[in-house]
Amino acid sequence: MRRRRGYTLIELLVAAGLASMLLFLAAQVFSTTTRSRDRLRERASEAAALQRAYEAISRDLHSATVPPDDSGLQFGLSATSAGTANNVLQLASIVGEPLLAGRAANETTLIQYAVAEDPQTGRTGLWRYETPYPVPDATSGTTGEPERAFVLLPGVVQASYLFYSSSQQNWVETWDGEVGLPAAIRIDLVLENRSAEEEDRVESWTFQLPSAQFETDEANAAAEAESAESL
Amino acid sequence: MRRGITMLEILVAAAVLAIGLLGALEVVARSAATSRRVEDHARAMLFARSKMDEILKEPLLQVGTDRGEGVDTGTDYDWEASIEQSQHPTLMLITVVARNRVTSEQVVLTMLRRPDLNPPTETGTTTGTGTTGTESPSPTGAGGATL
Repeated sequence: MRRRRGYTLIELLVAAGLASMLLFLAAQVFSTTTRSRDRLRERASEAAALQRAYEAISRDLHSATVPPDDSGLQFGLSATSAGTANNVLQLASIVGEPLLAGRAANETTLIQYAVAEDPQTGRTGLWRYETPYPVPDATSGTTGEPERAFVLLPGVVQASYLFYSSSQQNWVETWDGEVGLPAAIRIDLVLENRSAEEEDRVESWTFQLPSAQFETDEANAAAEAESAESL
Repeated sequence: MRRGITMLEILVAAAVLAIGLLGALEVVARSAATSRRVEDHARAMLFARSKMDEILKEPLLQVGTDRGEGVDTGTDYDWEASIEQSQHPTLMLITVVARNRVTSEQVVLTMLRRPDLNPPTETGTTTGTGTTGTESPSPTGAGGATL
């Protein structure tokens, strides 16, 4: 009878050692891959959120218009709004959502941007409020309950605004709505850091207001017409 | 007697496995790099559009070029802008290039615009009278994009 030789203990140990080393490496590769995929997905969704917010603000500002005379709410910064104490950027804009809400795109509403906390998540973000004219409580500067309010960009800790005055050729910190619309607005958003060791990130966006140009056009045309008459 | 697996065979098998894993890893790394480039491109696009709006806000455009770095610590982009006469006689061609400082990935944005958004002045009448010439809304020196 021939005796079958099994594996020796040493062979078994070496094989087990090699196998476990390989498994360990494979597991590590796997976990690194998963983690980096998660991080990439997070950053991609962040970039998408930034882009969405940019588009929304861009649409609002590109169709910004002079608020109705009786609105009492001028273009510019207001100190109060729906439940926030922060700076609020307010403007009148022509909005409409034929695709979503069946509203024609010819309605002028009051748009307000403010940094506020999301009651559901407890996270601060940039909110967009929309109140149709006539604004219920325009005299006190507050707008009461906006018709629509949602978080435009989550993770915004602070927002500051600069207005470009074409007459002064400079950026100014406050804007008096009496003089019409600024030529452009710069919005600086401070985004919360992803981790403790990372510093806050700043997104600085500039939007031009096409209707501001038309305002000066009209003003110039009016001035010219006057001077022509006086001659 | 049945022969077992030799050490050499195990090593060869391990090497083959390692090469396979390396290949898979390479694919993962490449796809990660690609998606980062896509994100980078999207961010650069926002930066370039913002820069473009900064130029478009000026009522008067003048031919020239300018360049600079992202104004904030948060941006990794350098930009270059140029305003030139386009093939269309009454329109200016504005080009904005945003380049990532680290990856040198770049985005080019172009736009056509009238050089002067103020209404055309009837030079004949203003120069003819000579008195109200200073009120002309298109000063040549002052204003305009500082390019």
